[in-house]
Amino acid sequence: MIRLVVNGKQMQFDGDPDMPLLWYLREDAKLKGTKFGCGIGQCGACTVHANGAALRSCTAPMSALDGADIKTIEGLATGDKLHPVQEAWIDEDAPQCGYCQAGQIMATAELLQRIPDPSDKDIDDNISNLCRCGSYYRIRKAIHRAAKTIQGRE
Amino acid sequence: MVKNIGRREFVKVSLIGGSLVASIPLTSCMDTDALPAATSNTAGNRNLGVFVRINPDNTTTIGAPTAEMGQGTFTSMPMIIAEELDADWARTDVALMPLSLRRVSDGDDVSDAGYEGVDYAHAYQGAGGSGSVKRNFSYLRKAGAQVRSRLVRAAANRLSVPVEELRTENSYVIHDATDQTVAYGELAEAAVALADVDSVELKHASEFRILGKYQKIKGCREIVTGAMTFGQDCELPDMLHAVLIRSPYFKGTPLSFDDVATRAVPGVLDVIRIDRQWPDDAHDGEVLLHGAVAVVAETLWAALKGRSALKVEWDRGPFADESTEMVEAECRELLDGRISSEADRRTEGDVDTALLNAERVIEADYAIKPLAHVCMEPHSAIADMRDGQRRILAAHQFPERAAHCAAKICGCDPMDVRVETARMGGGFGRKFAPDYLSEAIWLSHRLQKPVKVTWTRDDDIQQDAFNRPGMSRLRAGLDENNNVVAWDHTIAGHTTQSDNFPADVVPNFRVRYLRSNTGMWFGPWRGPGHNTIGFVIQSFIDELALATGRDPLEFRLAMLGEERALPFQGWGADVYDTGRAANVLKLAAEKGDWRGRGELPPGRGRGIASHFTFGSYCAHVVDVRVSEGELEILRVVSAIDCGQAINKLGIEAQIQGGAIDGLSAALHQAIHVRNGQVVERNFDTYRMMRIDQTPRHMETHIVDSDANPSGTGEVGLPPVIPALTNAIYAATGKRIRSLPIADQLKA
Repeated sequence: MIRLVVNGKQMQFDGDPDMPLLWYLREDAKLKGTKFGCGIGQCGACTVHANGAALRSCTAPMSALDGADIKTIEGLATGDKLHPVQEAWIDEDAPQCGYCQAGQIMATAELLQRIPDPSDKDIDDNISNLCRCGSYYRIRKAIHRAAKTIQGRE
Repeated sequence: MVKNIGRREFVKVSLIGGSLVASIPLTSCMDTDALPAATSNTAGNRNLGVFVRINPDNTTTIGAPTAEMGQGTFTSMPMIIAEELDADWARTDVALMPLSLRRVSDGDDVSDAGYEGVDYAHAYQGAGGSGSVKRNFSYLRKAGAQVRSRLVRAAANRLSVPVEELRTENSYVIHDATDQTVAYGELAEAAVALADVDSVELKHASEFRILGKYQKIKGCREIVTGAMTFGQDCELPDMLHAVLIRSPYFKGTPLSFDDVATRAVPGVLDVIRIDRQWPDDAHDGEVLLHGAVAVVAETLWAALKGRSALKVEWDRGPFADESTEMVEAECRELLDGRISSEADRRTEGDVDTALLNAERVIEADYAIKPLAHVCMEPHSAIADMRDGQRRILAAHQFPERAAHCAAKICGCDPMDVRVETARMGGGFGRKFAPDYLSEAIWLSHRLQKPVKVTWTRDDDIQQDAFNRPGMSRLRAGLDENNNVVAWDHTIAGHTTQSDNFPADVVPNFRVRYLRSNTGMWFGPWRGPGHNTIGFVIQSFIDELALATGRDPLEFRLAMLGEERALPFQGWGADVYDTGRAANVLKLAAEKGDWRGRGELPPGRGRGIASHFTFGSYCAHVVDVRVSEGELEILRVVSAIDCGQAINKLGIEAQIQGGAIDGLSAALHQAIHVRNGQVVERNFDTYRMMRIDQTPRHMETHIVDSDANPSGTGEVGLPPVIPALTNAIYAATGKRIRSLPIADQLKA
């Protein structure tokens, strides 16, 4: 039996321990906001937070997650109050198709915890999620905007 | 006082059949009973026509008839309706509409999607060719104006005032003389009972309050909170999951398979052979099945695990030896040895004589590799083909194809198939083909259960409908004044769209197509054909300009000549306007400081290029820095003329996104074939640009225009690749003549 916390909720899993966290979240927990993009940890569409760190959930087997505290895109806002990264994404009108954006947002939220005011170089070095629509230009603007919002609040 | 709101355009409108059935789903496709069987006059009905529902709280729900894939039609199409409806846009939400078909017969006006006696019932619901707005603009305006007319008449009845004394604004009907206002929400139920009028007046562009402005996308909150439903997120109760192992060889089919280990995986229910079914020159509504073996299971994970244990022997088909080297060698051989008039696709004037008499002939070869689509969302489809259900949920660009495939596989009427399109995680032309729909329909029909087929990234790349590769040999003849008098373009391989500039402006013009042999399957890829021919043509023009010592911008403007509208012979537009083409070049040059390029420091370069795609004109100025073989793309300045702008924020997104997508393709992307199989399988070998290579500065300038709107989704991509490679030449003196650029700058 694997026990983990997902978005603050205690969960139990006794299925195939080889199954990646991604499929547990999407198919078992019905948290469909975390997306499947590649299955090899290359694209980042499946990014969640595990114990506060960004994790590409498509390559993380359930067997490695006993006791883990998982946060998905559905758990990023506080009730109706959006996380500043989510707000910045709306303000910059960043998404096009939107499929990769949950992963982009989760990666960014974690980056801003480590580096509250990232330079462009910090963004280049830390955000590697793929987007085929080509929304990167607005994503960069949204990251800077979210950083400013968070700094202003502190 | 009656305020004249000046509806100058008076248009006869004909909405199909006169009686409109509301079909906007009330909730997402996750809910099984999303579709109300609406009737026109039941109590509580607030659906006004096909597209609009006015809610009691005076908010508006508008249906988006075309599936969203990132191109922005989920926002732009409802904007068009809301404009003529005078709805409060800030209090308007949007729902994706299901497919709606009508029966057609000989002599009826039928769209290019009409097939097997049916066509779209109202709006054109297919998404392709950057055509959603272009095809639907006029129709959706009339639809919005019809709803407004009903609300105004309902208000006139309630207030006992003449219709002519009423005006509308932000979801209110206003009677200025008596200072009375009535919310649309209070009028909706009365308006439902009113009939449409024979004709409605439409606004003049100067009166637009919603169109032509910078509007954020609808549904963004759902996207950023993970609540938006994409195709992969859809479910039906009791559905089974299927994943397929498809022939890794082009046109192969399964010979035999060993499924002992697969069936031992808990949750696996069945293993089913699917023979290849792929008619040559198939119509777009035809059933297309890859030769495959399907693993059907209770859960997706069981199906995936079962598939990895499956062993299949393949009939490798006729292309088992194909390799990239072989195909490219054949193209070179075709260009060197077998050019003849039999290959003529288009010829004007006398190219051979003009080349003989030319002062100077310049020649160059260009080469392009196949590209994969790699939509961020791998394909999926859900079908429930049981009698009485006949339902498909899928993210697809042309929903009627699902209905046609179902009709063919089940022997039913396409009108009896309920098709709901989910939001697509990218489409780019790949979600145009019905292969993944066919798989779900075929399996559901056979198993008589709802079935969801899910593709993985490997499936997606291996079984792609690739962007067409090719080699181009170009010869241009210049006269003593360095004017281009002859243009001779021979294409070996599969590149298309050669009707573009400089067709029709060079007096002696010829294009020849020499098709090479391949088992590869090709399909539309963002800006089909344009995406690579733009690179070929606009790079070669740069070569001509520089070889004759002329400025690349001035050279292009001289080639375009005086402003005139030329009949366009290619697909997707009727007219090529040299004035509009010149204008975007000048605008991009001005905003991108083209004149200042001489002052750039060593290692820096600035390039310019333009292209005409599906009726829209786009030009980019790209700045690069190349240092010890390392390329940095610094800036992209763009100019776009897409006629009447619908959503400027969306246009900017499409032009910048298209530019980034094109740069990504140019830098790294290529599909290779070895031993009859696609080599690349995932993003580790099929490399896409990430944020670190994205230009730090981008700006988009939109030409103010009242011309009919044309598209933007594919328009930004074709000219950006040559603008980049022209900039690289300016920086380094190295002419990029084959894509991808890859390591060419390191040599």
